[in-house]
This record gives sequence, C-alpha cells and structure tokens, in this order.
Amino acid sequence: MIRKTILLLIFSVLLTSCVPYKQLEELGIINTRGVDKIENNQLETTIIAYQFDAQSPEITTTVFGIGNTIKGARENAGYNTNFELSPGQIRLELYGKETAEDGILEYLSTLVRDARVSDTMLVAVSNVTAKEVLTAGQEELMTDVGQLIQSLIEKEVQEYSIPKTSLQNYLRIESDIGQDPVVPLIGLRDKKPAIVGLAAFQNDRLVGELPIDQAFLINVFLTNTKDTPLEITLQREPLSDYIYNNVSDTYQADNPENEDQFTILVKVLKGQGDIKLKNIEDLHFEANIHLEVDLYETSELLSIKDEKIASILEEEMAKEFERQYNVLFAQLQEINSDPFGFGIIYRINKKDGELTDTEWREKFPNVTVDFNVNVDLMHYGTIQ
Amino acid sequence: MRKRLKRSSKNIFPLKIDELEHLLMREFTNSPDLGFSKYEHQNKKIAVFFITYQVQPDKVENLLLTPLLESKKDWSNTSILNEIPLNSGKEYQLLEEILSGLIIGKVMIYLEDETAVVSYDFLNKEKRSLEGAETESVVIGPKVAFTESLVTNLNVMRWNIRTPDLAIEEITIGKRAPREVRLLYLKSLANETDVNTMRQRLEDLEVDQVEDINVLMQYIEDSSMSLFPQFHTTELPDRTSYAILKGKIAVLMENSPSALIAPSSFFSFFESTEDLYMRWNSGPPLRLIRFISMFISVVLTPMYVAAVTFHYEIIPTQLLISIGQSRAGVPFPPIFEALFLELMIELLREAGARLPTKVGQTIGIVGGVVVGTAAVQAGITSNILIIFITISALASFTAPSYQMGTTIRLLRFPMIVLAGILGLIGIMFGMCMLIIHLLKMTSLGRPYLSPIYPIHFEDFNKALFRLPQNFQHKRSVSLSLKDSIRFSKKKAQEKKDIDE
Amino acid sequence: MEINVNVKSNLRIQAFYLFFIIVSMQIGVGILGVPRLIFSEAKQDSWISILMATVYIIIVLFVMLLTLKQYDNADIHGIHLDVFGKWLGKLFSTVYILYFAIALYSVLITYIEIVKVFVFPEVSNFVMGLILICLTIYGVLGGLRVIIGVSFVFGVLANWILFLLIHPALQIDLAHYLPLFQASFVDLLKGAMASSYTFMGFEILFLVYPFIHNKNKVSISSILAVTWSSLLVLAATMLAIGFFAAAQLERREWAVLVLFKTQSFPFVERFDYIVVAELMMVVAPSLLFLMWGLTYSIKRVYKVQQKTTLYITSALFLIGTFFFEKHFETQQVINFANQFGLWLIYVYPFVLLPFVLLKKRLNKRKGARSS
Repeated sequence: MIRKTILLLIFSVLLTSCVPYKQLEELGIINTRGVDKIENNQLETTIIAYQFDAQSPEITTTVFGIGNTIKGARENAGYNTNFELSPGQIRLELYGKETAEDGILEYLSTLVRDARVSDTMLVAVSNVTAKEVLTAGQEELMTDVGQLIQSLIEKEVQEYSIPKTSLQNYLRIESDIGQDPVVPLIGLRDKKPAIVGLAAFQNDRLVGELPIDQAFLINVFLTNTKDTPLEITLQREPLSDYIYNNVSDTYQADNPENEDQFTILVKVLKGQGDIKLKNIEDLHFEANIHLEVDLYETSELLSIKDEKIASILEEEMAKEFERQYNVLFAQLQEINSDPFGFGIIYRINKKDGELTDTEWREKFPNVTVDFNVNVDLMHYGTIQ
Repeated sequence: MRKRLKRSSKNIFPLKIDELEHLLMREFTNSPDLGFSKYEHQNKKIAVFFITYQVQPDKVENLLLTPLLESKKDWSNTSILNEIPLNSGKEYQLLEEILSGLIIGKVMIYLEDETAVVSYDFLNKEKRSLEGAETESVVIGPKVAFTESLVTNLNVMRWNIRTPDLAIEEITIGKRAPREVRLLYLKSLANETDVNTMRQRLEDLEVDQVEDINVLMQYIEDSSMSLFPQFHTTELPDRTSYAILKGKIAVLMENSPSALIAPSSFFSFFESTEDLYMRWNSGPPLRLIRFISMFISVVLTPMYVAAVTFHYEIIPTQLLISIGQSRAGVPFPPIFEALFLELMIELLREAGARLPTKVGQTIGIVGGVVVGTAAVQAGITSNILIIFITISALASFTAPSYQMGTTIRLLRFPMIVLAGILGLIGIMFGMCMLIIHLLKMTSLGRPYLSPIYPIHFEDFNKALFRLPQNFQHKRSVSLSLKDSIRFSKKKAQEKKDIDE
Repeated sequence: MEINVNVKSNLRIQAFYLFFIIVSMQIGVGILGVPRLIFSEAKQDSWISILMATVYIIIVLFVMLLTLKQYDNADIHGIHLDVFGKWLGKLFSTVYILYFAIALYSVLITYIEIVKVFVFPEVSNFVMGLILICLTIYGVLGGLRVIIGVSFVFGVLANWILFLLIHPALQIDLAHYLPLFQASFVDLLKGAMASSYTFMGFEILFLVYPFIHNKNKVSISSILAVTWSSLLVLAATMLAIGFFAAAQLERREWAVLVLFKTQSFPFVERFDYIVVAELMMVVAPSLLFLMWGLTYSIKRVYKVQQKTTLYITSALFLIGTFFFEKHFETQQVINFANQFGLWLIYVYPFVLLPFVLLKKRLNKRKGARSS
C-alpha cells in the first residue's frame, strides 16, 4: 500500500515535472561582459560567450546588443546567436569609462538580484569604452580576451599588488559608509589589453584614475599583504658612499637625468596598515604602515656591509613611501574618494556610531593624516 | 517435520522378510535401485537392504556382511549392535524412518520376527573437495571456501572454533523435500533473544522446499521489499567463525556453499576479514575507501547529469569548457546518455559473469575498449561521462559483499532519473529517501544502521574503523551479548615509564 | 484519553537524542533569513539580542520542565485534560494542533521559495511540494524512532556545510561590529523578538517528554540543544554582519545563503546550489516532527488513526502549496506562524504552570481529606 502510493507519487513527479532542461551545449555561456552607455540613454553590451558547436572548433564568440536595460541588451544580443545566452558563469564585468562616471550600481544590482550570477566575478573599468578593449584585443590576439583580462587581474590580486575586486567586495565597500571602492583600470597598451591604472570611485561613480604602482599602497590598508614585488626609487645621496662603483667615473655619465636617484626592487613579505583617529574634532588621523621587505635587485651595485647601511636603506624607503602616501592622499582628497576607509574609523569612534554619506563627503577634504611608515629589511639574498 | 512423523506413526513390526520386501518395493517406485538381499544364517532369515549408489559397497561387504554371515553366532538385534564394531548402529521401528534412512545412505538389517530394524551408516556422498573462494577472494588470510556438503562445512567450522561452547542446532526445513539446516552460535555469548528469533523464524517456515541458503535468507529476512540485503551470506568459513566469535549467529544449510550471518548491520557489509588481518592502521583506511567509493558510485553519475542538465553554474570554467566540448555533438539529453552507458556497463558485467573466464575477459576488452572508443568517436556519448561511469562502476565493485555491490549498482538508476528530473534537488531527495529507508530497516529485529543509530560510540571502533588490539577489550555493545568484555582493559593498556 | 501516556519499552528513547530533536526543530530555513531581521532592529549589537533570546528560552524550558514534572509521564494534551477538563482541554489542544499545521506549512513554502529563487525559478510548487510531502509521509510512517533517527543522522550529516563558512568568515570586516553597545534596550528586545521564529521548535518537548527513558537527563540535554542552536544563529548573524555592509544586509533576503556564494573549490565553483539542496536535510527533520506532532496530537485528542490523518493532512498540504506563491504572501504566512507561535510557545507555558500547580494542590487536599 505504502510502496504503491510512493510509486504513484514518483510517477506523478515524472509526469508533472516541468523544469525545463538547460543543457550545457545548448547555452551560450557568457564569460565576459562589457557595458557601455551610448546615445539616448541606451546601453550597448559586448558579450564574450562560450558556445559548444559540433561544427566549429572555435568555442568563444563575441556578440553585441543594444537595449534600455542590461537584460534587454542581452536579449538583443541573443538575436545574433543560435545559443541561449545565460549569465550564470560571468567572470568579468567591464564598464566603459563614461558609463562608470555616471554610476554602475544599477547594473550591479541587476546581477545581485539574480541568484544564479556568481558573486566572485571581477569588476573592472576600461579607460576607453568596454567594447573597444574587448574587441580590439580579440582581433589582435586571437585568444579569449575576457580570460586574458581575468588572469591579468587575478595574478595581480594574488600578488596583492592591487586590491581584491570581486563583485561582492565592490558592493560591500561601496555600501559601507566611509569607504570607497577601487577597481583595476583596463586599457590598451600596444593594442593589447593591460592593467593601466586604478579607478577610484566615489560611491558608485568613477571620479579619478590612480597610477597602478600606488595600488599596493591602498591594498596594505585593505588586507594583510604577502609577497608583493615592488619597485621603489630612492634618493641616491644618502647611499652614495656605499654604492660600489666599479666603472668609477664613467658610469654616472650614462644616465645623467637619474643621477640623483637609485632604484631598488624589493619583495614586501608582509604589509600591514593601521589607521588611528587621533583627534575627532580636527579630523586628524594617524596611519601606521609596517612593511617587511626582502631586497631583490638594485639599479646599481650596493654593498650592505653592516647594520648601519641597512638602517639607512630602511629609512630611505620609509621616507619614500611616506612621500608617496602624501601625494596619493592629496590626490584622493581632491577627487573626494576614500578607498582607505578613514570614514569607517571616524564612524566607529563617533559617539553615536552614525555617519551619513553626505556628511563624510563634506568632511573628507578637511582630513589630515600622518603617515608613518616603518620598513624592516629582512634579507638581502646571498650577497651582502 | 512434526507432520511427517504423524503420518506414519504406526509400528509395522514384526513381519516376514517377504512381506517387508513387498512393502518396501511398493514404497519405492524406483525399485531397481533398492538392493534387497536375503540370507539364511543359523536357520534365521536375514534381510540386508540399502540403496546401492548411496552406500559404499566394499565397506558394506567388508565391515558388515562378512562378520555378520561368517560368525557362528545366533544373531539378535542386541547382539548385532553389541558385536559389530561400528558406532553408527541404530534401531528403527517406523516405516517412515526406515525410508528416509535409506535415502540418505543407511544400510538396514532385519532379522525375521524382530521388532525393529538395525541400521548402519555407510554414506557415500558425492562432493567436491575444499577449494579457494571465488566470489569473495582475499589476498591474505585463509582462502578455503565452504562446499555443498554440510558435513564438510561443519567439519571446517568445528576445526575453526574448537570449543564445546559452540552450539550446533539441527532444524529441518521444507515440507515436500526437507533439507537440513544448522544453527551455529556460541552458547555463552550469543544474545538469547536473537537465537530464539532466528530459531523461531526457521521453524515456523512452511514451504515446499528451500533451494539454497540465499533463498532461505529471502524467506526469513525482516523486510522482503527492500533492495538491501539484511543478512550476510558468505562463502568463507573464517569469516563465519569470526562472526560467531563476535557473538553473531550463523546458519548453514545442506547443499549450500555459503553461510548466513545474522544480525548484520549496514556497515558489516563493508567489512572484510582482511581488515582484521591487516595492521590496524593500514586496514581501516581501506574500509574508508569502500565507504567513499559506495558514495561515489551512487552519486557521481547523477551529479554529472544534474550539473550538465540544470546547473552549469556549479562547474568551474575550465572544466565547463572541456565538458561542453565533449558534449557538443551528442544528440541525446544527458540523462539518456548516462542511462545508456550505465546499461552498457551492466550488460558487459552480466555477459562477463555468464561466460567462461577467458572469453569473459575478451568480452570485457571488446566491450569496454572498442565499443567505448567507437561510441565517443561516433559522437553518441561524451568521453568525460565515460570516465565518470567507469569510475562509478569500479567503485561499486569494492564492496566486499557481492549482494551489497549489486544493490549499490542498482541504486544508481533511480538516482540518475531523479537527477534528470530535478537536478541536485532530485539527488538530495533520493539521498534523503535512502537514508530514511535505511533507518527504517532492521536485521533480525536489530536496527540496520547500528551503531550510527541508535548510536553506540564504543562500536565505532569495530564498525567504522579499528583501533589496535589492546583497545579492543569490549565486544559490540549493539549486539547486547551475554558477555561484553573480551579481556581486562587494565592489563592490556598497562603503561610503562621509560627504561623500566 | 489518559492523562499519562503509556509508552512501550521498545519505543522509549534516550534523553541524548533530545538534543538532536530540539536542534533539528529549531534550526531550519529560518536561520538563513534571521540575520537581516535581527540586524534591522538591533544593528551591530544583535549578539546581545540573541543572548537575551537564549536566556529567555532557557527560562521557558525550565517552566515547561517544571510543568511536566508535576505528572508521572504526561504530555501537553494530558495536562490540558487534567487542568481544564474535557472540553476546554480539547480546545487548547486543538490550538496546539493548529500551530503544528501552520508551522509545517510555513516551513514547506519557505523551502519551496528558496529553491525557486536560488535554483529552479521554473519549478512548479506542486512538484516541490510533492517530493517534500513524499519524504514526510515515508518518514512519519516509520514512527517516532525513525523520525528521531532522521533528525540525528541528518543533523550530523548536514553539518559539513558549516565548513564552507570558513572562507567568508576570513573576509569579515571587524569594523562592522563597532561601536559596541549602541542599540537601546527596546531595540534589543525587538531584535530578540525578531529571532523568535527561528528559535521555535523546543515546544516539541511537551510532546516527546513521555517517550524519554532517562528523565533525569532531560533538562541538561534540552538546555544544551537550545544553547547550540543559539550558537549557530549567533555565528550566522555575526558572520552576516561582518561580511555585509549594513546597507547591503538590510536589503538581502537569506543573507546566510549568499555567504556560501563566495566559496569555490577547483571541482565545484558554486556552493550555494549544493547548500540549497543540502538544506533539504535540514528541513526534513522539522517537517517530520511537525507532521508527527500534528498526527499524534490528533490521535491523542480525537482518537483518529495516525495513518488516516497523515494521508489526509498530507493531501491538504499538497493542495495548499498551490496558494501563496508570491514572496510577500509567503512572508505573511510566516508572520502569522510567528505571531501564533510567539504567544503559544513563549508566553503560554507561564500561564499553564500556575494552573497545574493549583490543580496539584487541590488534588492533594482532596486526597488528604478523603483519607
């Protein structure tokens, strides 16, 4: 009796089941998507999708669509392909510069609303239009540009050279009052896609571009960095006594404009940044950065014979970092974007713990910060 | 048994030799086989009768007839029993007993006008000799397997468990063609309720005949509708004796080359005696592999079907590309593709099992390699699925019990169908149903999932893994045995300081 | 109907399993959405709200146990009969039966909705309802022993998904918890109230108490269970608060489920799908217990065969899944179950206890007089 009922029920599941099949090989699986705003407030999407066609060995395809909404543009792009475009495997979302300047939250919230879309997808901004980056590269390289950009970003994120840039991270930082997101800026270098800088946001609007080598300075405050290669240019003067000059006088003539500079490449083993609010009335902050570095390469031969030289080197590095921080911070204040999260520290130290976005936007340009960098030189390889 | 006795409970003796011959010839329709010889000795008529091919004729000649006829003695039943130096002498009075005695190879002697027949055993039973196990082959440990002869099997069992504590009860089963069944257990250990339940079930069985112990198992198991075997049948005597020594009950049956072990839990089907012979730290990982492979075997192909049919999102991009490319030309939905390949594997297995070993191997190679490659090249199936199917087929063969292996293999089919209908939700539904089913099952009234539920942490040591011998001081708690302590824990785990 | 329940010795269970019974009843789909509810009241001080709720629940548990200890082996229906008499007692018992039905229905449609949002937007309510009801019928037919087995085995098996939360836990932003102690007492109370739906389920003690073999361990087992559930809810809430920005969390339904989206392994990219499927193992014990409670209560009160009510109510629930397909309708059902349960579970034991004590005193006096 029981078993008969169960059998009956199972059969009725069989009969009534109306979950439509979404077979892998019948889908166009979107891997990368570019979004640009064009005239009349319309959107143009550039979609790089996988499609598995027995007739063709090529699995990636690029299609374009125009519409008033993201989904509408996708539907429009769907007319170009015989596969059903589906968003479950989007790994990279690229926004054109002008689009990002008008704010990207509305596009991102579409992604979040659909539970099937991954939260770990990367978000990036192009310094031209997304279409240009995605198509120009496609012709030039004959490979999947979407994947190329993804691995570029992932590699840098793994080295902690740039901050994490997943959809979830972006949204969290964007939603946090008192902190603004930064995402990698993708441009074309020799007609190939490359990371050319860092896009600084004010809430969800693109407000400025930062040079790529300053991304690490921001990332130190966002996570504990490990093993990041970094090139840093120091003043030659304090170290000149210890630079081992085997070519004697002729050497300096080679690069006259850099003669007072000395470049080294270090690996930052550990990087930690910490912000303290010193004075809530004056909006005075103190930022302490601790870096442990290994020396890897010097532009000129340098002999580190004793502790004294090492400490001079440490000091010079710290000075240089502090200078860079001050420059960066001034620039950020100018565009009123706060990727370090000074606002969060301000909020948690405030009495009622409440802070509105507009309040912080007014206050941020008046903030003063003391950047204290502490560099520890750990090892310098097998030669002194 | 009781009924048969009732039918012929009248004493027919004394009677004349000729009358006896007549009576026997009438009862035996196959009269040519019945040897009935009459002798005159010291003016007394003696009849000796037996079924010719059931006895050893030269022994009858040498040991029985020669002393009987050459002696000058005046024979009577008692003097025969006293004088002839054979120990199997017995008196029979009832016709039914005589008939059944003749069938199993007894030689009957009747002195005219006596009130009973004297019988001696000269059984001549055709049997094969003891051989190594075929279906449950082991790498280390005893390799001998049971044979069809109950006597031989009992002999082996007695040699394995040399204690008078071993109880061997005789029960006869089958109304029309009775078979002898033996119930084996340790008197001082086995749970009395279990023994009584088992005996009850065997005695209450009212059937015409029971063909084999596997059939007997189906008659007496708790839930006959379930896919899962509820008693363990094994062809290994050492496994049987190990179970008996653990406090379980074994049943042996005439003409069946395997023993039945009860009660059996789900986990005991994944135990092999080899786990015991291996060192404690190298055996249990193998058992773990068996559990994992059971899981893989049930879930792997359905997972593929679910992911490819409904949830492409859960496949990592690189894997997605290779699966997508291999699926590209396949004309069937994944569920049919998977069912088709699973059926093919079952086909190969079945063909291999039926054919002689050497041909079977060829079939395996032809079927597996040639057809598999051709199917992929023809674009009927994707090669990634072939890998999954092969892995899950291999995994299903790791279960030490053949019956459990078959069950696991069968379970895949409903799972694939469920995955094809409702994806991961369907698989989960199947798993939930399966676990609830296992929870509902019992073996000889004991929970099937023991020691997981009801939980006995002490038994994890035996059912799921195995600790070194000095931690094995307790017997299974879930069997509620009469004596639960194997040895003193204190002595076994005595600690010594350094350099003592 | 007897006041005390005679339970055959083979149906008795160890108090150990009470832990799993209560945890599996409390932890259901509710835990996925509760961080948002608590957070929107108590903000970063939600943990205080949860602790307050836990303490209150433990007090309720003590009251329930005290009530039950006045009898030899009675359940809630027996107590109702004894205290309120035949008709009024039946009325109160019927309220309990209705509660079980509504709670069961709310669990059913919530899980269906989660499946529809996260995995299969196209699946019909009927199919999902059918498989869940199928599971429920099959389990309940096995009786209490099997249901407890289900809660135990599933309760252990489903725990692996907690390991998937390690990755999101490493990404939390500690600043989200600061500054501490900002919420007012009223807000904290509101937060505790918001967690009430999730914490419902320990009322099953009123029904299973007679089945428990070693009654001296009941209190420790049930308190541990409530503590463990609270820890789970606390962990989920704290994780969600740390992981999401405040503005995000206030908008996200089932925030805990979204946490699983960030975890990926080389062989599985997205775990939220697997977690939604695995949730069936979390939901099934609640469904089984509620269905058992429903049918068993009807048997106790109205003497109807459990099998009959099982089939009839299952059919009704199955038909019921057709209604309330919209999200806000589902929420209304949950809110109703919440309101219903709030009075019945969190307040009613305090009302019942004085009646029971009074009745006992009266009985004693009567006994003394007659002797």
